[in-house]
Amino acid sequence: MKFSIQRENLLKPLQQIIGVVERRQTLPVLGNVLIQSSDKGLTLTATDLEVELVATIEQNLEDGGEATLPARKLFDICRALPEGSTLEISIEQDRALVKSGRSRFTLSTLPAGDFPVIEEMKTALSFSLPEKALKEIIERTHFAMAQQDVRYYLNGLMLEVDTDALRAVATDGHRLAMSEVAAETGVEEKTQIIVPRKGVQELLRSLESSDAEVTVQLGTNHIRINTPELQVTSKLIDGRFPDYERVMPKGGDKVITADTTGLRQALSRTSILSNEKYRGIRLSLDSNSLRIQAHNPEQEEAEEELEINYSSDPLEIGFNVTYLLDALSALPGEEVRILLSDANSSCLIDAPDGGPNRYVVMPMRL
Amino acid sequence: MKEIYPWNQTAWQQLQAQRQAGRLAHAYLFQGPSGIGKQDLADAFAASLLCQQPAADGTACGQCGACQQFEAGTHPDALSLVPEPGKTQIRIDPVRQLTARLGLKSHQGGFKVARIEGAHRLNTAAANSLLKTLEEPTDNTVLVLITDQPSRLLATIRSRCQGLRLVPPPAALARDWLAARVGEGDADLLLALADGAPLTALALAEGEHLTQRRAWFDQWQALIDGRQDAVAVAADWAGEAGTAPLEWMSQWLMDLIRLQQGETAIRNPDLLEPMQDMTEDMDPVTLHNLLEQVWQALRLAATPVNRQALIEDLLIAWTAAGRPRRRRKRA
Repeated sequence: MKFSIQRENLLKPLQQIIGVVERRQTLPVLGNVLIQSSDKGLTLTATDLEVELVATIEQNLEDGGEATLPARKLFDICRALPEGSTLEISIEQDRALVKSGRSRFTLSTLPAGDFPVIEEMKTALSFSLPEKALKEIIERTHFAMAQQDVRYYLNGLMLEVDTDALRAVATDGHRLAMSEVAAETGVEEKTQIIVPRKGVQELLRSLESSDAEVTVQLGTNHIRINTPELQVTSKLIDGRFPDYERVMPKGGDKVITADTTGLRQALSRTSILSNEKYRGIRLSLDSNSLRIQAHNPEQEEAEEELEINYSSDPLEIGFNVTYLLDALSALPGEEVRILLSDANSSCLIDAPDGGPNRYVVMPMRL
Repeated sequence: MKEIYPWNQTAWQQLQAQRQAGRLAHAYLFQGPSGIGKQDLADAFAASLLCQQPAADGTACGQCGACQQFEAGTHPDALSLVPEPGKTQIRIDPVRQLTARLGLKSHQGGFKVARIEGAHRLNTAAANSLLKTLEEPTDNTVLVLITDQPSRLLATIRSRCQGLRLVPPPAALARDWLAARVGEGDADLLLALADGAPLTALALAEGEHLTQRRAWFDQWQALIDGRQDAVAVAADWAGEAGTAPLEWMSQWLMDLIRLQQGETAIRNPDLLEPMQDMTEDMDPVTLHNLLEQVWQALRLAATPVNRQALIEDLLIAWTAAGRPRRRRKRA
């Protein structure tokens, strides 16, 4: 295979896919990028067996074929070459020759057949939605995913495809985040899949806040998202996500509404003196006032009073402040509503008029 | 493709029958002495589960994409766990990575197979972190644990696996199999040296193992005859990468003890004569003490101990044990 290409045309797609190429791989071929000629031009594929990224470059080739080249080295060479230079790449047998101006590099290749690509997937359903919308629901929920939990089905983000909406839900057992967006999915029955943490992170990196449409394809084992520039395929977690509807607190009769930024800043100030391990804070509610208290094992104390809208009976409740801060940072809008029932029940955080984003945080006994 | 050795056929058919009946266990423990092809059986089993068009008897075709990737070691659904380079134990991090991978759906929509070689090398933390997965893996997942020291596994690991006991082949079968590969002449000796394990015997036949062993034995014999210096021999032995000289020494000592008890069916039949000569002046208690000392040294050799000093100590004790013999020879 042989082609010549502008440095910038190769650098950008390489940059997009290099993220999944780990520095220390168990399989040498995973350190390589698969370069294939296609009807459009060139496709570059990188994978870590969990997430596969495919970038397509429109390019005329002198000679087609396929090969795998060391990804990071090729990327570093590209990056180090002067701007605007042209690369001539020719691949013969187990060597790839890269020429640009007076530089010459010989890279070793591995057979393309050893590269574990995800086969054409059997797509169960497919729909499209604006790139921005998909990015948004992931951004507003991903922080609540569990990390290395033995309940492996929590170490990912659940995507629920409903007839008229796409919903993202993440939970680690202590808090839950949910966000939804309207989408014409055309499914008849709700379908749930769990995208592993790594896939979620790659999606966050690759998605942009544009209005372009992306297509989402769901197979039995994979999810594939086609953006204008990139194709992201992730394996799915093999498990059942807990029934999040049952976690949503019902019958909360004590309603707080407050200014989101003000509340968040007060909480983050107070959190400085909360126990570094448990991060507990105490909220004391009285009519139209909220007192936030924290103390740590060194007997240092923080206290802050805040004006809010609250008209129910006084209540004292403890929370892990990190969970509250995460939720408040992810929630858009100037005003926040918090629904409580008593000191032992979880609270629901959302916008005053409901809205598509909802967060549930379990209280702490202080 | 991995060969399924004739003596493992019963086990192989048992596995395939379970597969046919849809009664595959989610975790197997392949146990049995080393050198009888446990690993190869596990590989063949994994290949057969992953193959896209297995033959009627279950063997992998060796042609399809899955088989080629398996052969190249790049099959995404074939996982395996071995100690990291330079480590003797399997630590917790690789196990966590493995369980995370097993929690995902399979790459090609079929089975996921994880092989854990030398499962007794899992350290306590690693073994415990495997329990949850071992007990309740996701659908279409098969874990194969392989060990020649099942007693070193945690009871909680053993009880979660279906045991598959692999045994060395009957002597005649092993001899015929080996003779077809190394020639008639050496088969008996090799098998005896390998304690009946055909693959160990085959490995001995390749390379210079036998000549090397003979050289070590000559040095060893020279020591008690007072013809060589313990320090020089120790330097030679300590230069070896593995612990082969010490392992042979433990075999020779055991044979000496056997001969003293009047037993002539020994592990090193080719050394029968020189050994019989050696036993004459040996004190049985000294021999047993020496054997203990060699075993101790083998355990210590895995630690960052000064190998030269360790081996010197052994060989000086051995030289001392030869004192009555030297006295007799002079007389």
